[in-house]
Amino acid sequence: MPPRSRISVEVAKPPVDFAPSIVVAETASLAGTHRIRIAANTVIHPRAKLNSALGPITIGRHCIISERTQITAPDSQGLTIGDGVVVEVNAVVEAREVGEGTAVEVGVRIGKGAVVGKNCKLSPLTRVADAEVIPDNTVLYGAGERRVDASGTAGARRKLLERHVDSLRVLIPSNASKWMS
Amino acid sequence: MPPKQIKGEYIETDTGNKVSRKSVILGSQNIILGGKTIIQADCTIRGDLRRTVAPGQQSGNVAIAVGRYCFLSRSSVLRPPGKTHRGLYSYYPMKIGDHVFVGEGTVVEAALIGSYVHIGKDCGKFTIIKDCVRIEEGTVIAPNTVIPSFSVVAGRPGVVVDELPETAVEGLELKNIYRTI
Amino acid sequence: MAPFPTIHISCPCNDSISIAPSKSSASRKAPEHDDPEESDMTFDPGSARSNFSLFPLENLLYCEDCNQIRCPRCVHDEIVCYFCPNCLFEVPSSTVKTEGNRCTRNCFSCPICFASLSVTAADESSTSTSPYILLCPHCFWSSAEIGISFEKPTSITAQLAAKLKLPSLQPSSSSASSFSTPTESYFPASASSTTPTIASVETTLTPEEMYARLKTHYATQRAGSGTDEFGTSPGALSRLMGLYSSTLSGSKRTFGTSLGVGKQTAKQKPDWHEYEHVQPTHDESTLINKMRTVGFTGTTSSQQRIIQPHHPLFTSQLRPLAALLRTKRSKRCRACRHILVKPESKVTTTRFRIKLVAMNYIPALTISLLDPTSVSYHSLTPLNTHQFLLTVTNPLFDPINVTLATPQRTPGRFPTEVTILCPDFEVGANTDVWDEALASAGATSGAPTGVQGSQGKSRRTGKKTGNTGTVWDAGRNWTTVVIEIVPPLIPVEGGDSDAEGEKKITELDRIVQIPVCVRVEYETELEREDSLSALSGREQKEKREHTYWSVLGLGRIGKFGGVKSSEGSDTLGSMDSMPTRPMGRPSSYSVNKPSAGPGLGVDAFGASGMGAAAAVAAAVRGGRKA
Repeated sequence: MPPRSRISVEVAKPPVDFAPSIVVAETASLAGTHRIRIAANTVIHPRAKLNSALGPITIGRHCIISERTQITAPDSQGLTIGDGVVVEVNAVVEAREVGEGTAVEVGVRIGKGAVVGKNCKLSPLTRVADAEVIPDNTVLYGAGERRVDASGTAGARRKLLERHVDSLRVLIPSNASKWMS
Repeated sequence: MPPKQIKGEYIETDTGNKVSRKSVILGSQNIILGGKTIIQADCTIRGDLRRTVAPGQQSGNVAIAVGRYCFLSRSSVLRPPGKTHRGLYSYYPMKIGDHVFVGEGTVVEAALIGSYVHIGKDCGKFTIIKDCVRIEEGTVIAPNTVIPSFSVVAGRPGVVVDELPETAVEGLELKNIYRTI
Repeated sequence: MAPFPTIHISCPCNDSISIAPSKSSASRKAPEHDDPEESDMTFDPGSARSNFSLFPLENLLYCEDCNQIRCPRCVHDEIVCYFCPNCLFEVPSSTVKTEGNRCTRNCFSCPICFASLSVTAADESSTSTSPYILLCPHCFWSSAEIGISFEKPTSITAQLAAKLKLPSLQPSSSSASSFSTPTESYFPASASSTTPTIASVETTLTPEEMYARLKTHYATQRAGSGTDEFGTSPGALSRLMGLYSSTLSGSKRTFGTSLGVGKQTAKQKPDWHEYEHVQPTHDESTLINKMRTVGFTGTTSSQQRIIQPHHPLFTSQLRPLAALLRTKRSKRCRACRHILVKPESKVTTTRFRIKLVAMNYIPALTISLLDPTSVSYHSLTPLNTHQFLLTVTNPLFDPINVTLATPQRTPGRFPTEVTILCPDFEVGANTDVWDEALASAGATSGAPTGVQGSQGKSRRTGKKTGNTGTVWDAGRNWTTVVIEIVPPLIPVEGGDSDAEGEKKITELDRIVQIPVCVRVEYETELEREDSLSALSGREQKEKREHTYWSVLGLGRIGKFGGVKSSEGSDTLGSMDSMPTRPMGRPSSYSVNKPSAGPGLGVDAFGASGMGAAAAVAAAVRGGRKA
């Protein structure tokens, strides 16, 4: 069964600022009135939801935004996602900032206006409270425990991520032009 | 047990699979359903994330194979696991046995799931789950975990907390659930 | 407690003389003596002892020779094979004996979060010299944090052992040199006068070294005994026992003379040392200083500490945990030694060669509220009649006669009144599904008698009258009857009136648990090994009977409907301790609302106690016989 397009019922298209090398799936949903900027080599999976109704969204290079995610700008200051960030399935991101190289795993919720540092790992189903500040290299794991990542694997992770993006570029047909009008 | 659904919500295939009209199935040509499997509304199955192969090689075109009498509850996600092998990131096919129950909202990225498996919620990447396993609700299984038969798994990250009795096969059979839909 | 309703079956092994003759029967008597109310043999689910005999049906086995339920307590486990739960490789038992019960391949779990570690190539930028590390994919703990990395991605166990040992051996090498021969190791005081005192040995030896010494010591002992390899022969065992008695009491046993242990006198014997102590190298001030520097995150949690063999205080001392092996086990009946469960020895298969589970022999009970919308399981209304449907499902290929008995009032301080509307009924055989289809085609709608039909034909279904003495519903191999309960009014804690004695009202008092004695009678063909009986025409029938106690956990008593809601707040403390938080629906609080299901008059219950119901059932049965 081919997925039916439900995009037509969405609200007006937001103004976008896309780098030419990005992949935005046909059924991804971009809504809102503020500008959505997506830098080079970023992949937006089908049925990811980006909402810029309250503020602009900026997504860095080599990011992967998976399906069923909700990326919402918390307020007029907007939401900035750094380079090399992976947002996994079912995650809800309403942060002010997600630092470079951070992994937001399945089902994570980042509260409104939170600031997540660089190279963090938010393990599946963990929560970040509203306006919380997570320092760089923090690992949220288990039932909310935290520790500092000292494994020094951030660089290796980043390399793997870039390869991941390359493979997705083949698999997911992009329809970025749909938003650029 | 789920309540009886409104008539016409499901499309029944020749082999008795019942697929909700409201489910999201991407890359359906890469998905094999064994028969008598139920896919409830809002399920997402990522058949489009198939194996990437070097150009010229014959591509294995099965991304997700599901056995008989499986039950995918509402809002669950099946997603093939991916990893980098020899410098090339690729998704690998996901194989699911018979009588596998996937709970509501669960995200499954396992490499292999045996038969008679009950998954409450959330399952990590490249996990191998053998036959006769019960995964309690809210469990997060770390990537690359192997779960042997007759295990009860709970916690974040999930660890084996108990053994299932010899009657596990009878207790985990899903034929009756199929009849109610 | 699990969500309601629950059904547990009591294994009679508690008072079975054939299993544990004197001890358990004596201890069984004791509580009965204390509580005269129990002497009428009613099973009390609230008693402390019953907790150990109650099992869900799925966990019970069945011994065909004893014709008896067998619970995990009355079976013997025998290990069929050992395997690593991570790599699923079988480990031979000889390896388990020599190497211990942990995986010796590359299977480790994270010391921080216990997820399984994976061997990863280390980042080039990191400081570690070797290219591979163990990395936790969940919390990103890596072996580099404790300064360990590996040269190759295989045989991590050997590499890890080498790496852990080397640095710890270095400082102690001077004192260890006096132990040049490994054979004279663990009891140094006995060996020679040149050995340092125990105290100095203790400070310099790591637990691994001490363990290794102990191991070599025992190996020498075994070598001395010269018999079997694993010291399991009686001779070797007595040597080992003698070892303890002689070193501790100083007796002049002559074993192990090669080590000179036997020559020691009582004065020279080493003191008993507890080696599991906090490492004595740290005195308090260094410990406190270290805690100050590493902070809270640098110390281990109790769970992380306990699971490690050396109980580290700081995360810097954590080590990867080798995966504990798991076993496949066969199970034997303790009474007759017959095998009840025998899994196939291959690790990855889930099949069984022998599997005698109680599920296939005794009927399964299921229970549910007749009208699930009227009241929640977690807030049964006191003094109100609740109706439950009890379904008995027959797994046997012969029809069974079921008699249910229950005390009119459950044991305990706050008894619940129980009535089974139809305590005596028949459940059809577990025949082929097609039989039912054929039978229903020719079914006659007979009179609503409680028991009718046999051999799986002309079963009346779906009357659902709920009259006393009739079954509620029946199918091919199942029958449903109605159970009515009246939960007691539990006085509010701190209330004036009937809080008997000074005992506090516990959560257990609020849970309605109903003991039901299930008696099953059926006739079955005698199983004969010889084919003679089969040839002789009519198969011989044998009458069989099972009786067992089952405990139905029906729910939790909520607050009394009409009373002021503030009264309930007194009990909130005890409520909070319960995992299943009571979520009382407002609708269930109304007293006046009849909880009766459709067609069920309350008066049908009112006059007829259980005795009446039984009488009706008996009458019905008589009628059938006539």
